[in-house]
Amino acid sequence: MSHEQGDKEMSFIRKYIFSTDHKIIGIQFLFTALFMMAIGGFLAMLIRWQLAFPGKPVPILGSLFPNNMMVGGVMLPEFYTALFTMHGTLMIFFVVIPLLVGTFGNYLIPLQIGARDMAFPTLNMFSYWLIPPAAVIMLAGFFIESGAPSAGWTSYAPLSAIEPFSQNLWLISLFLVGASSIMGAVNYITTILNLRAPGMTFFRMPLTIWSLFITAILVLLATPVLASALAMLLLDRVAGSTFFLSEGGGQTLLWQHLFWFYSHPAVYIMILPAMGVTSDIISVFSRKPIFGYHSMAYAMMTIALLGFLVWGHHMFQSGMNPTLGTTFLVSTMVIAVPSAIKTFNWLGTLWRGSIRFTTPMLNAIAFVSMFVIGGLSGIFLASTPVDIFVHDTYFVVAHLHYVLFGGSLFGIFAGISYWYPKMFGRMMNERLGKIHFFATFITYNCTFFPMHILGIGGMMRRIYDPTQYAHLQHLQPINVFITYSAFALVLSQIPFLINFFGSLFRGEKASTNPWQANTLEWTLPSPPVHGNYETIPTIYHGPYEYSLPGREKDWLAQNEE
Amino acid sequence: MDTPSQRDVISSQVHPFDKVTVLCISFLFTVSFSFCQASAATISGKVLFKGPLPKLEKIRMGADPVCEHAHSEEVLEENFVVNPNGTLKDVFVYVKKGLEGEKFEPPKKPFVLDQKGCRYSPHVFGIQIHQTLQIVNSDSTLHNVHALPAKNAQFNLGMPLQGMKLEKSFNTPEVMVKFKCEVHPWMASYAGVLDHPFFDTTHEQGSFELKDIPDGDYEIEAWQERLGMLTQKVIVRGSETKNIEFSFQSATSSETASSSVKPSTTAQNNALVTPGADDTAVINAYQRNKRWWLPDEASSYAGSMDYVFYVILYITGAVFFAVQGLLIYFLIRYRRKEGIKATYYHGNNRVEVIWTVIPAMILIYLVLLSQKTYSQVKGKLPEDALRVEVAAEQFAWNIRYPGADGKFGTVDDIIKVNQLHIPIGKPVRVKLISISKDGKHPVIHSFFLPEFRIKQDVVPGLPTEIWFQATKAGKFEIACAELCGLGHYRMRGFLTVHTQEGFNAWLQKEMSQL
Repeated sequence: MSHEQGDKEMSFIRKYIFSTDHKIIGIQFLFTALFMMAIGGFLAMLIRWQLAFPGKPVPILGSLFPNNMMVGGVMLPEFYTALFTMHGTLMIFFVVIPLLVGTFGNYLIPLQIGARDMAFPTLNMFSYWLIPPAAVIMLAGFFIESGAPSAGWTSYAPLSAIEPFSQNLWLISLFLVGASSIMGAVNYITTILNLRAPGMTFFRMPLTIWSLFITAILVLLATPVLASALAMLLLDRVAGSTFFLSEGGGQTLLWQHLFWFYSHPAVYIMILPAMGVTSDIISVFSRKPIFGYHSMAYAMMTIALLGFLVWGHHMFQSGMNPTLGTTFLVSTMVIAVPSAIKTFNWLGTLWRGSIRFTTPMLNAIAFVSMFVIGGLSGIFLASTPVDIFVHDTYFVVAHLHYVLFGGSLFGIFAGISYWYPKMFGRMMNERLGKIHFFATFITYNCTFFPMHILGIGGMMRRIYDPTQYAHLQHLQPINVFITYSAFALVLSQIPFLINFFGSLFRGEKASTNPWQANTLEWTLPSPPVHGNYETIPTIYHGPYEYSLPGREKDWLAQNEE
Repeated sequence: MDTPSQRDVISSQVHPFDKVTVLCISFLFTVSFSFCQASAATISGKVLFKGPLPKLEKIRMGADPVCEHAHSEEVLEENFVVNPNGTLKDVFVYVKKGLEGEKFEPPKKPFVLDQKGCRYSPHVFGIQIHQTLQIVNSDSTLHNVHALPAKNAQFNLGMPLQGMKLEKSFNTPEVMVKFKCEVHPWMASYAGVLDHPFFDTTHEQGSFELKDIPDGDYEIEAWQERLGMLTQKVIVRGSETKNIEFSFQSATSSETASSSVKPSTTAQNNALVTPGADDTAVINAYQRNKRWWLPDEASSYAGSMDYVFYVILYITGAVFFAVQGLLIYFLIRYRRKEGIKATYYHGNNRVEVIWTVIPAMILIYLVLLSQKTYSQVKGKLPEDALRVEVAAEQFAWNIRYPGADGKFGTVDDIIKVNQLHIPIGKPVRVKLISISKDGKHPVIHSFFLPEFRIKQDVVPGLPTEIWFQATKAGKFEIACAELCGLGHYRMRGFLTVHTQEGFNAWLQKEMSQL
């Protein structure tokens, strides 16, 4: 049966809604996550308003909020705690993970390894369709009297055990997200192991696939731990168990151990795919093989392995035995080594290249530059004595945003603008892309860099009103500056939205291989049909044969004989 | 008191243009004519108290400086106030039975419940169903009003700002509805929620007056917070005024006696004042550094911790400039140029080894450097130290000194709220525990002294001991650094570092006040 014929027989609903086509599922993850990003960004703006102008009514929008959120436009402390809880939760579980793992994983894995689809297409469909109900359950908290979840995205017990009802929603929603992640991971691993085209050996896979493969293993091993912690907390809340409640003989710190045993690997789940994507994009637009392909792959494996051994660095001040702290100090310092290797290899790839400053390339370069800052600030936090002071301050907020926004999100912007022509068959506008990039890059740094200074000045995280403290009052101008920068950062996303949605209809038609790249997806029409490959290709080369001497073309497709 | 009292609200009920009256006039020639004529009866009287006078506890507001500064005199409990004329204040008197089936419009005017000086004003009041209850915060601190009705909807809302107003109403009659503040545990108010306007609250004269009651046989109830309820039957006909009296008796005289067990000590210690005991000038001389950088170093180990910080800053700073500089140089130098092809080059194992080994060596050096200082801070606790216990609750620091006998948990312990006093130059061991009050669960807090570079989570079920030694005298802040609920941001305490003499004098004064 020809796959094109299969397409025609399918109804709209089977083709675009309950689709088993990995490409459609990837695009579904993309749209869902972009929508959630808009909500998460809006919550961040409310947070920033309160931090810069504590107690002043929110202009225009303030009066629209009900009395359990804002009174006379002035937000209440419990709403503020709900805001940062939901901002963190949405951005991590509904934006960055679905974009990197859901979108790129689904869209790229079968295409880049030469497969017709995922190993389990129906399971793949379910992995997406758990996300919308999870999102609805998570957001429902905003519409109930006792308010949205507000124990922080880390939901430390026992506070999370005594918070109002919506904490149950938080737990159930994340349970669904976790199930979705596990389904996806099983699928990715099976697909990569079994469905590679002939000749696609492991060390001919693009680094994007390597990164997604390693990420899927992390997801598969770590997420069940999160799921059990969520179930235990839910039981503590509704069934009277006391896993985390000291009065009933439970261990308060157990939650933190279980949570970070998942959530530290999750940090790598949120950065490894961006590293893979960036590596490929830097190679394509330097027209040069990636520097140290093998060491790039091994570095990612090392990061993944060490990623399971460093969770305790979140707990240096938690009351955990200080001797254990030393162990995690060592493992955390060591994990900086493979990150350094990757950075130097990216620089090595640029060296003696022929660099094209396209929108995807600019975002990929920004990823490298910002990831360096996020990595270096991590060394302060890894150092136990320094962490005593900067732990739970804005230094941590700055660090995590340099990794998750400066790193992951620039990687995501790079990936979206790079694969957009393949996904939608049209090019994005380069001018708008560059306006978006430069505006975002500048306002992003103005927003998050000063947070390091706030943290060094001693400003704690998660406080509703920093001006309450005498030792923070003189830092308030920094908070005001950050807030204006954050507003500008949000405005800087308008060119992206115009470009993204406008190009769907008005973008220039994309050719098969607009970037002259080597990987397999660029041998297919834009967009590829359901089933991808009429005949499965045979692979003869690695993915990075650019500027091969003695050839007129400066690229060599992986399946070119 | 500048808020409208209950009487004002009631008097608004009998205004000539009040709805009840308007309703009557519109039915002037109907059956209700006689009803209107008859609705002028009044039940009035006094609420008396017989028995030994209760001893009211002093309210300690030191946990919140805003509250403490709002009062120049000492503040007593309000739950059992006997007026000089032998009557009781804050008794709620209302028609309990006899009005079944009657409908009364709620007054248009909202009833105002004020939070002023960290007390509810009024302490006891009545309100009609569907009447607006306007809750006002007149203090420049966070209040959190938590209404605990049984038949109506609960609400629990933070009011962080001075002048903030909330409007609520009740739909079902309920006597009484308690209000408490989740921030200030001593604050309480009681509302009698009724579907009719015939209620009053006693004040300084202990009298009450229920006006314009229609003919009927009624059961009148008087409610007092600690003494409970008394009822009596009253029959009113026509425009008469009935006088009744309620007389509460103290049923719990033993309780009032037991609360005065505390020994009273005279302030003899004035004679003990030694030279240098008054260190106020030294403490006030300290001015906080206001740069956008690390706070002052005020503890013995702050210097070596900051040293590690600066070593890391210089190393990462050098790496930052090297990498970003190289990146920018490559971007310019190797930008696309016509006719120049990129170099086909897959990498070099020697450089891979170099840029693996060099960062690894730097990081191992940082491990050793960090561990040295870390063990200094988190290692062995000094033996010869002042011992203090800090019990963190939502949202206050309860600070306990062992007192004269050197033991915790005995009667001579000195207990302060949010006020930690220590001497300069002597190690202090702080035992951190997490506690809870009112049957809540204890939660995690984090004890953070920015200038002393110490931060330690306070974990339920896991008492933790830390130490530090002050090197600067002055006033500093204690911050909570771990999210502990809606009042987290203002779980702020104060640390005063005295001279040794000043601390001794302070300790003497505290011990004498027990």
